[in-house]
Amino acid sequence: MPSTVDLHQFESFLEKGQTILTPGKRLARAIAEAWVRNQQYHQSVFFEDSVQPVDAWLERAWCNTVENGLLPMQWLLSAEQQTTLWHEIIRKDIAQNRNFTLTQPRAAALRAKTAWDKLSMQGGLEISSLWGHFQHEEDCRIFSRWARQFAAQLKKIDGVTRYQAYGQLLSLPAQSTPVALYGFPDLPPVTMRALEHLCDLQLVAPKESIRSDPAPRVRAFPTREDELAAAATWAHEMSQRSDYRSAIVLLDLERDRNQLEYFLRAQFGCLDAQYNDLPVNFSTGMPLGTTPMFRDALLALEWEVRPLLRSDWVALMRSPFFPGLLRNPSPNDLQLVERLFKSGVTEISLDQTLHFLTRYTSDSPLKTILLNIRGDRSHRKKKNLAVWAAWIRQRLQVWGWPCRESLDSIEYQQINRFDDSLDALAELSSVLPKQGHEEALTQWRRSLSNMPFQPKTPYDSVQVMGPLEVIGLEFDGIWVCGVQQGSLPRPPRLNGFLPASLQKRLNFSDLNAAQLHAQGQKALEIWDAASTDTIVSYHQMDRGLPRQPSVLVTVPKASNESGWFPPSRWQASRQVEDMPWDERIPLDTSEHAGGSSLIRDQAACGFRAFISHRLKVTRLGGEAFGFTAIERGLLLHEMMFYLWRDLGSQSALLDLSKQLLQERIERAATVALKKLEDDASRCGYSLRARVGESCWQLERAFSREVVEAWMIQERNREHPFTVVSLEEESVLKLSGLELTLRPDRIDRLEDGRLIVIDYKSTAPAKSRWLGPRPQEPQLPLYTFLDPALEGIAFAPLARESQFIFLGNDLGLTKTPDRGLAHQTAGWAGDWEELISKWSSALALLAEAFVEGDPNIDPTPGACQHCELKSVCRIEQLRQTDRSLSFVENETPK
Amino acid sequence: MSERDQDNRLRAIDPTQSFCVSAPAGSGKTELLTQRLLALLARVNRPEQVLAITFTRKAASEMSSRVIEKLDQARRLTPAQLPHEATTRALAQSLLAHAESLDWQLDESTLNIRTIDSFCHEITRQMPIVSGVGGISEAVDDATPLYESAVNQLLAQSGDENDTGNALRLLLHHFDNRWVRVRELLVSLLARRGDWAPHIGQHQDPIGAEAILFDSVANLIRCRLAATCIGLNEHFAELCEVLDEARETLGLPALMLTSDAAALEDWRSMVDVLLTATGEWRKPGGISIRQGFEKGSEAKSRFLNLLKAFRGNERLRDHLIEVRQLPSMQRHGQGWSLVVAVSSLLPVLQAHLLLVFQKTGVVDHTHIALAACDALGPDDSPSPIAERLDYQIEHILVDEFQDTAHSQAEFLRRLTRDWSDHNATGSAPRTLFVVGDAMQSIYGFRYADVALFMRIQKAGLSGLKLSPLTLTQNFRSRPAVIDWVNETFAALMGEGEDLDQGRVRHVNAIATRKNGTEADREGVHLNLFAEESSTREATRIAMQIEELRAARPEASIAILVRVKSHTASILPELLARGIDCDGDALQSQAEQVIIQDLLSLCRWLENPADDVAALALLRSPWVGLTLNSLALLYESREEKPLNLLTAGERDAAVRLPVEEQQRLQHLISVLNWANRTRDRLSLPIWIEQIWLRLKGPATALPAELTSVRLFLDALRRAEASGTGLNTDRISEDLSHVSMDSAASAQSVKVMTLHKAKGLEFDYVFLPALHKRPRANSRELLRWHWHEGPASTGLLIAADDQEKNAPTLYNYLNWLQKMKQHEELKRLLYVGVTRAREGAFLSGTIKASGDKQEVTVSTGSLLSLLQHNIDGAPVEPVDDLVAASLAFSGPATVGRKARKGSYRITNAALEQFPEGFINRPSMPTQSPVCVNGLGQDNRLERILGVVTHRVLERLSAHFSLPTEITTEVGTWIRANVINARLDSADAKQIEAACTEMIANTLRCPNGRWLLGKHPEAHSELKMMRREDGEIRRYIVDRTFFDEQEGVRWIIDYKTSSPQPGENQEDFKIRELSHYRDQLDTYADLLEGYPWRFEGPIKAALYFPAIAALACQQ
Ligand code: SF4
Repeated sequence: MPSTVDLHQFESFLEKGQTILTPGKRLARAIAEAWVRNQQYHQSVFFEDSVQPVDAWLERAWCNTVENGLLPMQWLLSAEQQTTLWHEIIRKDIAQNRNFTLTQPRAAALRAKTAWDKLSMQGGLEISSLWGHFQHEEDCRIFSRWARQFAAQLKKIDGVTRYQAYGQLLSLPAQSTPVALYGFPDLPPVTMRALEHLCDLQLVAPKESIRSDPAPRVRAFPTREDELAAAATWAHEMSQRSDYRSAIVLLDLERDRNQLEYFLRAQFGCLDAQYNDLPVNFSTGMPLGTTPMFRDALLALEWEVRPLLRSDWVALMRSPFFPGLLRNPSPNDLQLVERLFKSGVTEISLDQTLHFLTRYTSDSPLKTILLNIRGDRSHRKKKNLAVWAAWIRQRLQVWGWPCRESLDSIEYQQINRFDDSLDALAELSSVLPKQGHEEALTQWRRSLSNMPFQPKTPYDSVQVMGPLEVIGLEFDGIWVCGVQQGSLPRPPRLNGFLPASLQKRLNFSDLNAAQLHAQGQKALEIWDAASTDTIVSYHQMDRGLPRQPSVLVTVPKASNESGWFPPSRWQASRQVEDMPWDERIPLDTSEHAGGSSLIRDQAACGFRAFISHRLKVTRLGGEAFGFTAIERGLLLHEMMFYLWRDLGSQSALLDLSKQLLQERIERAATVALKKLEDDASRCGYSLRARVGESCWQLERAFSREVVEAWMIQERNREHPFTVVSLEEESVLKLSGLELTLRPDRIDRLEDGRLIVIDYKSTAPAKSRWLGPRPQEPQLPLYTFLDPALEGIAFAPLARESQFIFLGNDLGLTKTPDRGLAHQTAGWAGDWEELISKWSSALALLAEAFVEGDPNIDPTPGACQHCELKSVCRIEQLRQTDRSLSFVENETPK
Repeated sequence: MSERDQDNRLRAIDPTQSFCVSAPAGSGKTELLTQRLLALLARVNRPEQVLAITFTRKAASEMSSRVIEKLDQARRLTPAQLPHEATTRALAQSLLAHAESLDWQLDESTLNIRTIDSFCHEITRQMPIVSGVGGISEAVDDATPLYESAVNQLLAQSGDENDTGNALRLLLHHFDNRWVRVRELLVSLLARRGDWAPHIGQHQDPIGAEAILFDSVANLIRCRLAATCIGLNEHFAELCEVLDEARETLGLPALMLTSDAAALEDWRSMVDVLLTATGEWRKPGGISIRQGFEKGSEAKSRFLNLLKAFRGNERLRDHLIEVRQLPSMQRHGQGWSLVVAVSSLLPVLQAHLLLVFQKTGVVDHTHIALAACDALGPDDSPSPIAERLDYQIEHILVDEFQDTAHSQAEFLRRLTRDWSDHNATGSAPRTLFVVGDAMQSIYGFRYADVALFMRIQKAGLSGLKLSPLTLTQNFRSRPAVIDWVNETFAALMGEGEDLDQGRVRHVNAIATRKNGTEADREGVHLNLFAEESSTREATRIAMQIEELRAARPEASIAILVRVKSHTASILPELLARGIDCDGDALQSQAEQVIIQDLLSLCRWLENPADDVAALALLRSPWVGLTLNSLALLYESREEKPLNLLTAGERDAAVRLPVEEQQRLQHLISVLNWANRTRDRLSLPIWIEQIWLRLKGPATALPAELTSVRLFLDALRRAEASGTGLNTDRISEDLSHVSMDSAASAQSVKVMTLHKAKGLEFDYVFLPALHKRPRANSRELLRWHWHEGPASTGLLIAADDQEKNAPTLYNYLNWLQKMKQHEELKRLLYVGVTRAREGAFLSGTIKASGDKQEVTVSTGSLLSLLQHNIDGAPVEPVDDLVAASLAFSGPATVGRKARKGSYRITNAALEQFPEGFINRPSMPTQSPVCVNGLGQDNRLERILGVVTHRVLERLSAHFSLPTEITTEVGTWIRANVINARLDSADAKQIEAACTEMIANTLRCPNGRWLLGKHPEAHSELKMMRREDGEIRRYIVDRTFFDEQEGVRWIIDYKTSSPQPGENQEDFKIRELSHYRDQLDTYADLLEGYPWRFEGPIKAALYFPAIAALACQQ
């Protein structure tokens, strides 16, 4: 149901063919339509601009004057062109003046535009004569510098701003065409003067309330949500009455719009199937640039400029508007994404994607497009923005955008704004020099963010609008939301770029509290008069903070109850059953079950082992920054491998001079790094490129240092040793489970005893080997490989560390070995006991795995970095099972 | 009320004086602030001239509400009950009179009560350029992603061959090339740049920075040595003499115990003689020839006398311990080079952050605070603030000043820097009123420095003297509580103050209430448990709460903890007993199970390659596949990750039990619907709809619905901010959203001690006192603002990892530990003083060894109560355990007790209305293919507009020219120029238009249609009602041709034949293309009551080729 007006107020003018001017478009439209509706059925009406917004009328008048040669040949800059011009001036000024910078030059440009408009809307002022006032305050002084450049630029391009143009109209001979003007809100001084100069103005006063009770109904709500939900419910109820026209006015339209839309959708049943049929007309919408279709278009184009963050890359790949990998993924596509993520990249470039596609897929639409784009160099040179606009169109055509099989009505309306957005970009070429690729996209992004998009629906039973848009219209019912202190009346505001004294002298209306108060009061009266059923409402709390009603409303005695939550569609009787107990699922075959990590996971948590080693669920690789712990571990392992492969024994090490050792370490580092890079390259990426050259070199230096320091430990070992095994694979059968083990190194001491050594890049505690559920079971597992093994040791390849070991008289460190009982804090008295305890503990763990026992029984601390919380639902279990309620960061005992 | 307090309170509302009020817990601070505010407002010309600053929005809004409430009460003449209310009433009434005389509208928006953040924001808004902000900036609460971007950019420079590259490589090498760690450290530094940024100016050179730092350290050493010297008092000279004698015996040179920094090592030698390695006074038996004192020598007996005199002087011992910690002045150690490197990097890092701010258009609160400070200008050229704010701030009140950070204090200093000069002129005085309580300063981790409060108390601010006032009466707690607090904290805090170490003085409170009759519920009780067993403690607390609830149902109860995780064992116990809880120490939204499920759903929708998310979905209550089914599905798969959408087609899926198949198929059909509707519904609505289709409400507990609502709110925020379906960000956002307090007044507040500040409860539980929060990793930088009598300066040091050397970092680390220890005491103070009736402290202790010595971990709150622990009875626990067991059965581990895990029933899944999931989605338009983007025809469109306009003008011209006249040329140019084209395009359009117009003027048809006719209109705007809607049209040209008796409709088209196309074919093509349009116009014109009647004919006119095509 369209908005309407009280035609009686305007009829006499319309009948006479006299022009009516309104403050905004909406009222102009409503008057014209009301008049047409009033005519006989189906009759065409012609309308020589009888009702127009003031600005459109004055602009036309100015254009005519220029066309007639009565004013110099000039053009009127659009708001966006003005802001861009200001931005450009500010940008250059910052570049030239090294003593100041701005975090938000764009915001400064917008404020500069406002300040300029404020000055020029005074009318009759010679702006250039005012600069003297601007020299006492730094902000004003700098603004005046920019403003002079702005004026010069305008002159250079023969441009004018709106209020300047109105000011120029005052130089014409006065006219007295009779014109009616709707009398609220107040117009800027120069607009009024121009109108008075060109017309014989007749003011149409806003309608007075006809109700005997002068004040509108005031309703109070506990929270903002309650208030908006109630307004939506009301609008829906009203829409059930035939021919009822209702409007919701939001004083904070920008903030409340989306939330209100949600409540309206819920009320009108437009949350899914009828999503596009919400019978509500919103006076504003979301910026076009944030609609999914344009959001993704921007992403695709910006991908050519720089790599995308992972999250953006995934967004583009799943976008329904692009033929990305995740739109309708094949198993191969999913695997490709997984591979890419496994490489640890934080950002994904177009080239990298193309590289993966070439390597792992045959033909795909995405690959063809990327190849096409890569082969094209048209984006390289700086160009005029109009040319860039054409380039964007062509590029998106290459992408096949928007390649959704069919568009719904909202998407259809969005794509229809594409041309407008490119026009807006092209228009900027008149104020900007040639731009590069990236700047052009930035400008398009801005253009898109300045274009509000609001889908049109065929039938509107409710209007939602801002406080001024409703002025002059009539409804059967109006609900004004958010009548709070601070919103009505508006608090006075100074403009930061204009001297305060000047603003006062010029009597800026924004500054005059009394005037603002009166305006607020007047607005309230007009809203009240605009329907026979006007409700104004406020809320008492917003995001946990109390809010007060406007001083202009009388507070009702009782506040309304909330009651919208939970919505009825969320109310359902609980229909759940206990999750069936997870039965054991014995392993079919224990062959090649896994490595020591299987027992480690089983020790930490049966469920984790089940998911990771039975279901083999993979984790999406995280983002890596520099070398990951695993990569570093591999590098050090490799270096040690090469060194000991060549050295073979402690005596060989002792025979080496320091310099020779350094050379070998250097060589080992080179070989190990190469191996790492080769491994990465086999997985489709370059590790060196990912970490960057300086990180690569620093890692080389660091690993050399660490290994060199470590070799001193090896030199100083008391008992001479020979290395008997390096990374040799063995198979261990444990409780029927076949485990593939690969000890880093096994040394034979002179007396024939063997020690197994595991390299670590940090120094873990011994306690991690002990107990029925050891956190680091690999070394204990290795002891089963050879009965001659009588010692296990971690070699922590980190600064200032030394062997951590279990075993008698191993001679690994200078500190005298204490007995095993001491070393194991009493867990085992001697090596035999230790082996036997490990044997039973590890056998039990292996058995549990073989039996397929997915028990959720994490050791303390196990869950801390586990990614399976959402699968095992440990948090839910903890709420009822106290045995699981230990704190995650407590260290295990 | 004590007379002194009364007197102080009266003085505090004297609007002509500035005060610094020390207001301990329960001393009625809020009332006093309100009174002062009312008193000040009654003296100013505009209400904005009184600025009240708080640190939280909540505090600001509470203060406003309180003032408004007092004014309302005064208006309504509600009788005042208590004496202090009478004072407030009188003040409110005189303010009302004053407001009326000046015609003020007194409401919350005119009261200038704001948070310091919002005030800073206002300043930057008013001074966009000098503040360096540029305009209105949105400050984000969590700026970590911005910091990370800045740090990434900085680290990307690590390969540069310049100072920055060198410094970065040094730093990275120092941290073993662990980039993640370095990034973390730099990010945490950026978060704290409010402290260092003002001192490490962007343009300061590294060498200058090093010199300044060096001076600051020397000053610090001088200052601390001088203080030690004073501590030694009259014994100093004798001590020097005796020590020199002893050293002579050892053949060592005499000590140079001056306060010069160079003398530090000599001072340390002196300390070593006086103190043992652990910092205790040496016992007489420990004095021997080793220190140079021969047995029986006079020197030895003199020294022993001195030692005797010193013993018990804890202050002196502290000084001596500090001498040991003071940093050495070797400039070239690794620590120094690291400090220099980091100091030189900080400005670069800051510059990168600025770039990130510029790029993203958002900033952090620190940026606004620093910008506001900048906007006020340096002392030598202050900004005219009154001018910008449109009012002169005459009075400032600051609440909770003990929680001020340095940057905030600096901001206040600049704001008030000319006030003492102003007051000296005899004009109406400007005043500063600062309220705080050093004993409640607990925000050290948020950069607050209690020393600022102590300093302002003593020395005022920017020359403005603040009279110190101390309130001592406590209106809140029972005497039994107050006595315990007085006794305990007098011993813990003592009388002494130390600004550097953040040590505050204890102020005794005087009770105003009387003790009640229920001794076991009043006062402070310490319950100790025999061994580490949080469940026992939890059971005890839960039982006590039940008892309290039974005895006093209306009483407010709170459980206060240091960190959230300390409630882990208590919450299940409360939950099991049906005790409602709310508060910030409960889990955050992000930790709620339902939120985790929704996040898994979003994670899969975000990236279908996320195998864990897929599995989580399959295990969620909405699906609930058994592990058996999962094993079937997963173990047989060849591909990884699992493709959920096609999982139902797998052989394995067919082998699932029928009910399980149904579950899987249901999920798949919902996900298919989700895929089809992706990006068609707004994000929160889309997710809600998916959840509804998954039958979410049927599996949710009523309390979980609130979580769902908050989740959808977070999605709404994500959508509005443009981040969209980025699950990590959404999860991060939710981690800041605490459980909504839907709880009743009956619910127990479970809060962190920090959040509880400013609140009060009848009963307070402080459990888990034996626990410590997780130790923080070593910070990359430590700094300390040193203010000595002769010098001030920021000391800054980087972690040199030399754990035992006397480096600056280690000194600052030590100092930090001292500060934290002091703050720990205050935290306990805050906790206990929340109680009106009773406080129940508890923790567990471990007794070991033969003597059963009790050990309490240092750093825990319980460690502060060592006195109370010694000899305190330990709770018998057996009955508690029994109570607990009886209540909920044995706590079990293992497969039989997995209660709490549930899934939707198959019956529920069957209940979906037919076709609900696949409800026909929105009607779609016909496919838009590549060509749908159309051609770039902007210039043609502009040419059309300009040509139409010129033709319109020509048709209205009194005499139609035969060629392009100057006048027509001007029309063309004016319209082209107004089309906002660049010059090349403008020229092209002008030429093309000129040609078309010239063609038309030459063409007889053109002249005919532009000529004079009856009822002729150009660009005729028409409207009509069609199916209830109003439609608008513009007809290019219409007229009545009297000769033919025909009404013509002409539509101009600026197109021309394609290459190779002949004119006739072109006309036919165009006519057929525009047939509908012309028909509509004809219909439109037919519906208008014209004067001249006649048949209607329509035609297209092509100025480019000067041709008319008539429709048949
Ligand atoms: S989160 Fe904890 S309980 Fe869950 S799988 Fe991981 S370790 Fe096991």
